[in-house]
Amino acid sequence: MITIDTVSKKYGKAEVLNVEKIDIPTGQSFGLVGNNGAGKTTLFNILLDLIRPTTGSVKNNNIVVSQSEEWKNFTGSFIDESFLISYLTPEEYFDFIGDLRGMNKEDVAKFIAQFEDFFNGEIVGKKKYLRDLSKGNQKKAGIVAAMMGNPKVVILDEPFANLDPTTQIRLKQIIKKLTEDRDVTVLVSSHDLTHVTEVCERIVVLDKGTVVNDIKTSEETLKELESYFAL
Amino acid sequence: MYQLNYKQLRNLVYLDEAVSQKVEEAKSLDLSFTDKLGDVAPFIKNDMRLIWRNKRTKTVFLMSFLFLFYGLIFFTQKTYREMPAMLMFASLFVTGGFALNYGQFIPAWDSAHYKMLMSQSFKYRKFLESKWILMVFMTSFLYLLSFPYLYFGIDIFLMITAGAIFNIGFNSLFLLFAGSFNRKRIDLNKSGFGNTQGTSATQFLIILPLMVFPMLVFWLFDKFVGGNSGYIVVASIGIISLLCKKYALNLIEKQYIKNKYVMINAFGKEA
Repeated sequence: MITIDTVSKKYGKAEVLNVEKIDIPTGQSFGLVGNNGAGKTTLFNILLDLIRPTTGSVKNNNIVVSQSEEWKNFTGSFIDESFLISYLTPEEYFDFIGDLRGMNKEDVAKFIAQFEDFFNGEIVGKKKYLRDLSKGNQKKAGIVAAMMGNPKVVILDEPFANLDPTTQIRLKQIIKKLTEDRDVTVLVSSHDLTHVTEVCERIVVLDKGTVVNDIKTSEETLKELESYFAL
Repeated sequence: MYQLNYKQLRNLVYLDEAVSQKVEEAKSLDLSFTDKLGDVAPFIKNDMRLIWRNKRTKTVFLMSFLFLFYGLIFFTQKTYREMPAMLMFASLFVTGGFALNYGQFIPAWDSAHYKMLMSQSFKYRKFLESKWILMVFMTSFLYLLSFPYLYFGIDIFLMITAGAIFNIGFNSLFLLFAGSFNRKRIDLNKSGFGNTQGTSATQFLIILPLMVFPMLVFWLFDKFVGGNSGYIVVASIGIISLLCKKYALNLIEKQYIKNKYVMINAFGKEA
C-alpha cells in the first residue's frame, strides 16, 4: 500500500532522515518507534507530503504523494494539534472534516456515536471549543477525525501520548478493530514500546534517521526492543 | 475595620480561584443557510466562526464598519475636496475596510491548522473561492451601507461606487494573490487591537497596487482627460478583473501550490 523509496531529508548539512526502502502491504498495522529526534514525525510528514524529501519519493497506493493529490481521499491522519481547528467545537470540527470527506450530517453523527466509550463523555455535547479541551481530549477528537470517511490508510503520530490508561486501552482496541479486516493500513508511531508491540504486527526502529531494526511482532519482540533501547 | 480587611484578604488567599479562567461557553449558530453555496460552504462556515470567535478577527470585522466613516473625514474638509486623488483614497477605504484588513492576512488566519488543511482532500480552489466570496459579500454589504454618502453629492457617491467596484474586482483577487507570499503565523488567541503579528514587508508592498494604483489612475484621467473618465477607468479596471476571475484564480491557485512547503514550514513556527 505504501512504499517508501530511499527517502532522505537534510536541513542544511544535518541529515535527519535516511530510509532505504520500506514496503508496507495493505492491511498491515505498522509501528514506528525511536527516541526523540529519530525522525518519526519527519517521516510521517513526508508520507503526507507536508515536507518535501531531499531525495526519494513515497507512493501511497501507487500514487506518488508529491505529484498527485488523489491519495488524500483515502488517507486519514493526525499528527499534532495543528490538525485541529481551535475555535470550533468538536461537533463542528467533525462536521467540517466530514464535509471534506463526503459525509453528510447523519453519517457524521452515526460515525461519532460509535466512539461514545472512547470519548468518555468528555468531548461531545460539552459546549466547549477545542482550544478549551485538555490535551488528551483534543487528541481523542483528532484521532477519531482521522478515521472519518472510510480511509484506507490511517496515520497517527504518538497517539498514546497524553491519554489516560483507560483511553489508551480503548484506543488499542479501536486500532485492532480497524486492521481486523486486513483492509485498512494503519501507521502508528510511539515512544511507548508496550503499546506498539500490542497493536502492531510489524515494528520498525528508527535511530538518528536510519532504520536499525525491522521486525515482525512476536512474543519476544518487546524484550528485544527493550534490550535495544536499554543501551 | 481590621476584621473586615482580614476576612476579605483571607478569602482571596487562594490563588487558583483568582486565576482560574472562565471557560467560554460555545454557542453554535445554525449556519446551514450557507449550504446553498455548495462545495465552498464548509469553508464559509468555518470562516464565519473564525471571525466571530477570535478576538483579533472580530476586531477586524468590527473595524471594517468604522472604516465606513472614513469618508466623513475627507469629504467634509475643504482642503481635500480640491484633491480628488485623496478623495479616491477615502472612497476605497469606505467599502474596502473588510477586504483590506481581512484579505491581507489570507491564508495566515488558517496558519494554526494549515497542515491539516493540506492533508485533506479538497480542491485548493474551493478554499480560495470561499475567501473571495467572503470579501466580495462584505464589500457589497458595506457599499449598501455607504448609500447615505449621497448627501455629499453624486460625485462623491460615484467615486465610492467606482471604489467599491475596484475593491470587488481587482483588490479581492489581488489580496488572494498577495496572500501566497504570507509567511507569518498568526495566533488567533492573542488579542486584536494593535496586534501586528503576521505583518511583514508583504503588507506594506501590497498597499501600492491596492491603493496607490487606483489613486494614480484616477488622478491621471481626472486631470488630463477630465469629465467622468476617472470614475469610469477605475471602475472598468474592477470590472475587467472580475471578468478575468477564472484565469486569475488559476494563477493564484498555482502560486499557492508552488509555495505549499514553505508556507507549511513558516506557519508551523510559533511566533
